[in-house]
Amino acid sequence: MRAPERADAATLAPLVDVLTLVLVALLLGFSTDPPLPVALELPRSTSTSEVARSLALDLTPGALHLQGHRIAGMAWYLDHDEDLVDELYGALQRLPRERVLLRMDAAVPYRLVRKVLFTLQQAGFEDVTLVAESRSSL
Amino acid sequence: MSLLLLLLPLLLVTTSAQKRVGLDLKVSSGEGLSVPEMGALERLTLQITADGLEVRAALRRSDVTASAGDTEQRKVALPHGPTGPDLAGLQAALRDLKRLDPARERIALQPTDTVPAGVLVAVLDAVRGDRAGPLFPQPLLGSAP
Repeated sequence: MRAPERADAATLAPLVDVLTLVLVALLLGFSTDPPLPVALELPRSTSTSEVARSLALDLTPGALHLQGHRIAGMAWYLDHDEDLVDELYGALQRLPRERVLLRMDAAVPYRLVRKVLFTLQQAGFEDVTLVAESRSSL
Repeated sequence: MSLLLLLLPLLLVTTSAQKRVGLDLKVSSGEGLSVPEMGALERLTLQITADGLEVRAALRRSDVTASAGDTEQRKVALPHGPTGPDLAGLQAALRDLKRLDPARERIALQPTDTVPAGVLVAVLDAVRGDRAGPLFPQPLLGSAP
């Protein structure tokens, strides 16, 4: 009667090892960051600095979102020389000065990034964190 | 065993495979881009264009024939390869300049308007440091002239 039990234990041991390895990989590689409110592909970075929660700006080639709410279309700013993003400047005036997390799509041209940074600076928001996806992500 | 089987689906449901990291920037008026520093490197800029990278350094001359304010201009052009910017070449060029002025921490980045944010972040990573240690960990963002 004992022989089959030993055989079961012998079969389970590698499975437990594999599950433990998968668990460790998940704990190391996964994060508890909430999903992004806007569909964008973040640039990839080798940085290891964690991102603390703060005021979030999401920039795609088509639109700018503040705290998940669309505040401006960016097509006009892409075609025109105006550096100040008026809609963003107006919205920032009602908010306390704090660090801004700028989450931008990897394909966004620097022309738009520059205008958003200029507007932040004009509105008195001088501390900015560019958010990226870690290269160690699974 | 049962604990593992419980933990695995729980982790898969409550976590995400995308780990986010941050690169801190100080957004101030463009003054920092033009202020010369006191070390051997008076000015250090990196232009990022659709075709490649270009490092420009103004080195203070210290030989006996030099007058005050004399600088030697150095330029390193690194065309993009098939996979994007030549980050290894950039880091090698910056490492050479870092040896001349180890205390310097700032470099002015001047991307052109068409440079994608993905390339900008890759370059920001590269100028901050390489395997040998920190390079210029306080990059300043401007725009190409």
